[in-house]
Amino acid sequence: MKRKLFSLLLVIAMISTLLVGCGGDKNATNNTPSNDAVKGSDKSVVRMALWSAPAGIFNPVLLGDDYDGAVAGLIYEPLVEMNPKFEFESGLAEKWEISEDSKSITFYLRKDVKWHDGEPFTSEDVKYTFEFISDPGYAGNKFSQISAISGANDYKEGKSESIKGIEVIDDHTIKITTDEVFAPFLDKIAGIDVIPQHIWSKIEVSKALESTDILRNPVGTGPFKFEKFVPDQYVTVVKNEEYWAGAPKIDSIVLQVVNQDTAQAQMLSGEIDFMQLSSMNPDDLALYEDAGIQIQEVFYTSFQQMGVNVRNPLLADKKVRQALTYAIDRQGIVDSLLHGHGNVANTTYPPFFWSYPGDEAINTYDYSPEKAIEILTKEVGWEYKDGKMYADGKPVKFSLVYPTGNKARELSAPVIQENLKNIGIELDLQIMEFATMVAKVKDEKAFDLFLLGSGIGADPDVRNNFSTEAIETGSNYMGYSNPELDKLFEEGVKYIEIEKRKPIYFEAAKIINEDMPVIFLYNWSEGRAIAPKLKGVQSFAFGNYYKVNEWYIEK
Amino acid sequence: MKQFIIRRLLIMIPVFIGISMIIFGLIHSTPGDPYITMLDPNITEADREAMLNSIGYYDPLPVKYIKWIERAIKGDLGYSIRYKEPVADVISRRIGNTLLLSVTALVLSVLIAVPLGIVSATKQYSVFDYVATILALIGLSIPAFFFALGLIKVLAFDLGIFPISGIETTGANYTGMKRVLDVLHHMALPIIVLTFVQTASLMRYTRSSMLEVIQQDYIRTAKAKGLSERVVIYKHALRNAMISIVTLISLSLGGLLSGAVLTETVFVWPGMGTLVYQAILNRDYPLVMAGTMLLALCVLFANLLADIMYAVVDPRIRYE
Repeated sequence: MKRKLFSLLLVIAMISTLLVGCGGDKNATNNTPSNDAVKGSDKSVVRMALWSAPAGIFNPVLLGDDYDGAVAGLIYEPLVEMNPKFEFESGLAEKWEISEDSKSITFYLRKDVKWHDGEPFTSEDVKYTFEFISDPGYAGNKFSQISAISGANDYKEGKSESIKGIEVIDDHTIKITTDEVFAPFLDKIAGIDVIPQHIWSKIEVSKALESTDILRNPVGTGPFKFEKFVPDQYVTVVKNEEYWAGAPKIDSIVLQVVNQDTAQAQMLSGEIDFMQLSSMNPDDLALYEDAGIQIQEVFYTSFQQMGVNVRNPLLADKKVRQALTYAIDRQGIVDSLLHGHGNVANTTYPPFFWSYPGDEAINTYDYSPEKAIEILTKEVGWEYKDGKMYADGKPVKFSLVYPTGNKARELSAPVIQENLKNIGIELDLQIMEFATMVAKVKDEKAFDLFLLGSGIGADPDVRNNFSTEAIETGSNYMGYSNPELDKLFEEGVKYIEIEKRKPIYFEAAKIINEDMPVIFLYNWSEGRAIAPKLKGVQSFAFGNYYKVNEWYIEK
Repeated sequence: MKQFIIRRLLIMIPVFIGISMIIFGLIHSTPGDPYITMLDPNITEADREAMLNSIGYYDPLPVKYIKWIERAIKGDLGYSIRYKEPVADVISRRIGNTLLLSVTALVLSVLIAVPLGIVSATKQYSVFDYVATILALIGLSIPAFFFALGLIKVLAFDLGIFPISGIETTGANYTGMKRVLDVLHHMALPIIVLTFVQTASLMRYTRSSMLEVIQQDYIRTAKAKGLSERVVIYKHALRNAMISIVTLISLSLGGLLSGAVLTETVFVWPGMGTLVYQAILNRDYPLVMAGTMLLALCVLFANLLADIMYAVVDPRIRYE
């Protein structure tokens, strides 16, 4: 009887949710504010395409997906900003001074900055932002970025009332100190978007993710002010007239959800003014060109790789991995699948990044199946007969797992299969949905080879990918370990100045190029399609919004 | 009848619990966790563990289930991991949009398909019948996805009559009548797709059901009595033919919430289909759970309705 009652209640709960659901929707429809109708007026509006709806977490240090990030990027700002040349420019901090021992940086903040609600911006906001991230109840993923600050860990564990390494000197000067020299200081710590203390301190940090009202009414200092969020559909931001670097020239930006299959039509018909291109297919590019649409090519510091499970005895020898690299026609993949918009990768750094040692310093593994066979038979001791490769008398066969979602990557799997067949190695292709695939590679370690993208971000520190420690705690799914490399990695993060770090990372790049813990496939570039009338856009790998306040519509 | 309905409702309870257990088990046995698909690949293992712990990811499955069902009974379906707001709120915002599409399309397709089917059957092998049959075949065989893209190309892109996607003009903030018209304008294409596809099968069904009845002896008797064609068809034949048609329509109510996934995706229609699909990809457990349970509930009720309607239209059937 009790069980039945219990179950009946469940059904009632379900039904009532359904009913409440329908009622709620009507309310939402009725109270749409009617202020300034954007379309049809002479206001300049830029419409940007998002592939998926933002979740509505518009707090830059709490958000967890690209689409929320696309919104927050217009509203919030960091102390220093990276420019398209990967150099640092002043953001909320007008200038900064690095101390003699490289362990602390003093930031001189702009005095003329106001939050969107009119409150002045001060050093207290900066201090609060770091305390927010270090709070024991903090649920975002930025703490690892700032944990180098002295005392951040103590604060997180509740051992101290404030973070020792953060010193407010006056309203507009703040000094941040780290225990050890922290190489990516400017990128990781000073690159964090600042949130307003007067708003967020009203609630407990542990409750922040539940404060839907505050999350969905973000207040920042950036060039655009939040206006409206319609879940699943779009977000509107309007220009901040009092923006410190000058009020934006366009009146508002609408970030709207667009289906990738129809995006091209929307771009061509002028419904969308800005979107990221998922493919650089020449036919598509020609269509855009005919319509006068501008294409900006953005080079990424990321690469696609074929990870190798070095726990497999057949793959433990770096000679084998080198041979596999020779065997794959990577230039062919770049030419056909990327339509030439990318380049063959040979180490973890892309050719245009400062830690790349130069083509002459590394092995470029130019496509040569003959050489691959030669290495495997002469140096490794495998046997090649009748078009098949044998190791210890058994035919060599590997499994390659790869995820759905990235078209060029998906298509490169059969190419690799074909290439390896030419040197007598059989490849068993297993395509699966992304999360399933990662779990298989990461937790079960049930694979020989896998395809995944990876990247260095804006700093050459790749401990998370290739250090011994990362086998347990990072993304070194290969199980690869090289003590010499570990040492270099530790050395590389001891300096902030690029010139001092260069030789260390050159060396690391060479070792990685030699060891091939993953077989580097390619770096790629992606396009941004920009409406003919929209000018001033400078997209680069780490953002589309560089100097967004200077974008304008050509009449 | 009353007794029958009560009995069926009571049977639904254990069925429903069974469904919830199966779905719960299935969802939680899929590999991957909610944070794997989120933005930052550099998030440290420790942070990830902490987050997984905070959502109770490491609890044993039965514990998770009991936790979930305890709250669900109290009407608390939990917090969406991705949207960080109560699941009930997330769903309630989409459900109306989906019903707007699917109910309109269903009503339209019934209004179109049933008369078409009847005429087709009574004028078997006529030009009308052939044209209707060919159209129906197209409707049955064309993938909704492809049809939608074709319509977008011709009607929205080339001719510019309809907007390409969305439910309303973004950023326009229309109110009142203007807003209604705006939404209707955006609805047109998805409705055409859904209606066309549903009409096709329903029309074929009506036609064959009518044909079967028309050939029966009592119809010949009715004709022999000298009744007019109209009375024979619409009074005598149609009533019997309706039995299976009504069942089909009632059953299709079960798909009201889930039937338009592809169409919703193509037109970026903010509805239930895309929501549940995205939630599964994101491993947003509470949302998937509530969403799929709702879909299951919908199917259960549709089945019950079909049984009841059966009794209503067919006097031979009596539930005792």
